[in-house]
Amino acid sequence: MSEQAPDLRVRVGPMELKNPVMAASGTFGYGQEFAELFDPALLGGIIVKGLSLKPRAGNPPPRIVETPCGMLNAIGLANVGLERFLGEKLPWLQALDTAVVVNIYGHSVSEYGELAGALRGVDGIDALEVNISCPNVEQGGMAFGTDPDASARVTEAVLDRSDKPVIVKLSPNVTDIREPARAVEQAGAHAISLINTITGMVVDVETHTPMLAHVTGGLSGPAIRPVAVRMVHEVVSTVGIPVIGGGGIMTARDAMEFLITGACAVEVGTASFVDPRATLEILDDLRDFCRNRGIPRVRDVIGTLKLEG
Amino acid sequence: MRIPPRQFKMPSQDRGPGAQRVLLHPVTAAAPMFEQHAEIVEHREVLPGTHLLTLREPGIAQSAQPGQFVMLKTGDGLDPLLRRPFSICGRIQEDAFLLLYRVVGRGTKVLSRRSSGESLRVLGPLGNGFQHRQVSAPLLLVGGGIGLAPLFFLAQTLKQEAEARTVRFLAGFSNAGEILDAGIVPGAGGMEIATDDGSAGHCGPVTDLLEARLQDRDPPGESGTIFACGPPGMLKKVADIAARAGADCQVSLEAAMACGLGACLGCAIKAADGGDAAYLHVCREGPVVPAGAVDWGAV
Repeated sequence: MSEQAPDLRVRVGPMELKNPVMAASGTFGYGQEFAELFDPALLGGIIVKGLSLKPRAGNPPPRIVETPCGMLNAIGLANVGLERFLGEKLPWLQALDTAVVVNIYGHSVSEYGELAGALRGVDGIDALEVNISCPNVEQGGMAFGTDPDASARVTEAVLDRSDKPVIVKLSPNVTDIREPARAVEQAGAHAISLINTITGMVVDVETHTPMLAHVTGGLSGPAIRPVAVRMVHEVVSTVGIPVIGGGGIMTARDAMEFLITGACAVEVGTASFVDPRATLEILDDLRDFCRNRGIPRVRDVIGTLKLEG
Repeated sequence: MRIPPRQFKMPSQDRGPGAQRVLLHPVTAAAPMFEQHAEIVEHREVLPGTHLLTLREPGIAQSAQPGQFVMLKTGDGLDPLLRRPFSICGRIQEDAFLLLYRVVGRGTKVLSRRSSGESLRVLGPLGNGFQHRQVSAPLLLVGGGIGLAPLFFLAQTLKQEAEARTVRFLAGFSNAGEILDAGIVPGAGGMEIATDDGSAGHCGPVTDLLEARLQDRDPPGESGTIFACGPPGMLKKVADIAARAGADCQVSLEAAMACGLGACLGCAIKAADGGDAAYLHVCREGPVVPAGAVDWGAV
């Protein structure tokens, strides 16, 4: 077995990542929140909190509730808006030596396009992740992601105005995930990421009221991982574009499941709430996992799922 | 592994959605933050269902300011998944700190079963504490039930700093059996007690004691500063009394939160009108905020 450190570089379409571990949107702020605890530039990439043209205050509280091996959230895409993002958040991110992906959200197809246009030519943004899958907003979001035609229209609107690789983040709240996957591939998306949260609901049996003010929320955490792996399997079996997988990844072994299934990178989300250094620990353990098994290049693992027959 | 101390960036224009121009008091501590395994030194039930936990973690013990909190992983597995926020209740010598909690759900139930010698993962100190320096006397600490936790730490700190200003520690409980002995936190003693049923001390809410103290302010002519923590109804009433009496008031807020770092945005509290931000985040703008920053109508 070689003493050399395993080669962790992976490619997501036009984007090369130094390693496959990315911090998922909405769980890592703008990166700076975690810089007290470790260097976010060590990660393969950072996907920032969902950005909209105008600032969004988010939903009324309560916004989160814990569930068995998971959590339900209805934050409502609270974010600083384009202007403050460019002025206050991006300069710090631009200085980081890692891929910076901006997750974008709009109320309408044209708003997605407008946002993509506003980010055109902006340095230090390596890709856009198009959020058509947020379950916690009244307009847009998941309404696009659950309709393959609308998914394609949003994808086209973004591609029309953008000069960056476009990743479309799919919603799991559909009957057949392959339909929106095919639609966004045909629309020209460079890559697909999945899954966003699964809609859920928790009721307080004392008060007979929903635990979240928004009534429903998005379920995340290890509870959803098998659903996410299954959906990644379905999507990689259907489309030819690269897939970034995620959903409940807590450990390097969890990340390996997604890579073996065919994802070429992973998004780690809720784990960062449980342990703010989770992304880094998963990366370190992934390196050890490869070293201990004599895997020289992590990309050789991608899509090595063995199926009978 | 010990994380090298760094300056903890406190709320300012760069901390997230709508955080600017809310009139929040300046930050008490530019303290370093630690993510550590902390050893349980002592863990005992001080009242039925209420536990006092002593954790050894010198970094947190030394840098914590009254009002700050920690995020604690109560168990080892995936369920309960999230850490729980706990106000720091006091310091024990230079290397340990206290947490006081009531068993209310799964997380605290799991925590209550952990025993001395075990270690827990802890992140902190987090958030903004009480601003007790350079404020108007008298200093009026007003707490209800388990909400006394951060006030014990404040009382202890004031004692250690040989605070020269008048300090009054007003504590409310439902009945005599629920009284938390301030002696559990060294140096935090000297509470004036109110109970809802009159079984000890003043009969009535702790806000009665507050009103009396405000009517008879010592020294006279000073507006006074209130530091409050307790159930939402109590805080709302304290904020109202403070506003009417023209006293400064700082409240320690509570909310379910996932990260404690300002990333999840789960711990939102409706902000008072007039500021730029629609919501305050307990972990980032709080947990201690001026009472005037909160929309008490939404509480």
